[in-house]
Amino acid sequence: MPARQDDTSIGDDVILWRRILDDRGWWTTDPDGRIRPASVAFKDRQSNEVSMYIATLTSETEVLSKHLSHGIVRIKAGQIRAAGTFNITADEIPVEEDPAGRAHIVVSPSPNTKAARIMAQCASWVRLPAGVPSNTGIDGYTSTDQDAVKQEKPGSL
Amino acid sequence: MTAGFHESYIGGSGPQIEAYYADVVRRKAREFYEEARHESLAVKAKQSWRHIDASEPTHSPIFLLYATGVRQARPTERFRRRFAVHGDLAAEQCVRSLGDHAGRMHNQWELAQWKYPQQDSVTRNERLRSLTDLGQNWDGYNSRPITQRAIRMADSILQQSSHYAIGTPRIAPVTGGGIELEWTTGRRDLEMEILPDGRWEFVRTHEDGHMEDQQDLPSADTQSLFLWLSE
Repeated sequence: MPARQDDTSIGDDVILWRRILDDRGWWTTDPDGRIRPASVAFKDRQSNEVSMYIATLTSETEVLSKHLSHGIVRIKAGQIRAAGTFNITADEIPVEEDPAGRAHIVVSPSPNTKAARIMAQCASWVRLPAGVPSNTGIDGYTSTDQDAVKQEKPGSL
Repeated sequence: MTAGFHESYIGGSGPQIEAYYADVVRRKAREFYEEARHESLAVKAKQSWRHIDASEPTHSPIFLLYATGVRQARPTERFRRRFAVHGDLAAEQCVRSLGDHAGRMHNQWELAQWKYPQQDSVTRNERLRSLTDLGQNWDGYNSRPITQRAIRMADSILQQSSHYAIGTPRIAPVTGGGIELEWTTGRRDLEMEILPDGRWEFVRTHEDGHMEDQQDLPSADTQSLFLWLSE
């Protein structure tokens, strides 16, 4: 396979989606109680490429069509590039194989543990996997929810 | 509560300890829920104890957060009216009591994680065994199964880790046949990835968020990493 090139037409502000397994090992809880994807979600030691989707070219339904219990996180292309030297390359897949295939891109090479952790910390939930507490309580707020929590009046019952 | 909690552990076998531990934690969480008489706190507590898993070390910070959050809270008029708490002193005492209770639960949890590693080994072995059951394309990204080399190395590292007071790691299968392990103690974090060929790499995260990996610390071994984590 020829070496991938970074596609600069995929700008740093482009939002990318990554599908997250509902296996509890693929998400974790930070010491502050925030549930986030685990580093493992941004690694692929087989193809050495991490599959993602350009958010504006697909939908949650398409991305999760074969994996209804999985979740989705979002991360900007610029955050991936800032985590190390990575190429983001369009990699369209026939829709017969993947309903979201026209939005498919790959990040290469697969991040090491440190870069994957940085990406995982940058990522925020679009949809939580099944089994993850979906409330905005202390035991499981999402990044999006976190913003809402901050807007609450502090120190008030 | 403390005396009974600890006395009941003495002389128990691993599974008995685990079962009792799970029961105690659920019961205490339920008590906290009932004590957390303010509506929003009660809802959060209820949601939490339903999800409590005695083998899940990440649940300890939940109690710490309750303690911190409740202690920083101040009783509003709505709180006073709803629960008929009269007088500033009584209301503040009520809030403090809820925070203290959550703090005690956090301490109990930390102590049990450190004192009774038997339950860790049960969880660890079950989790590793479950990884051997993953077939081709277990992740939907067309991954191969987890390699035996990775499983053997993970088992070896986990056995080494059991000599340190660092709790049970999160264990996750990695696309391509590897395994990821992550321990969190306080605000320190250690992630190790066992690659499909049995080699491993790591990243450790300090309290201030600073990260170091094998490129920063080329001579780091498992012992030094576990020692750092347990300090």
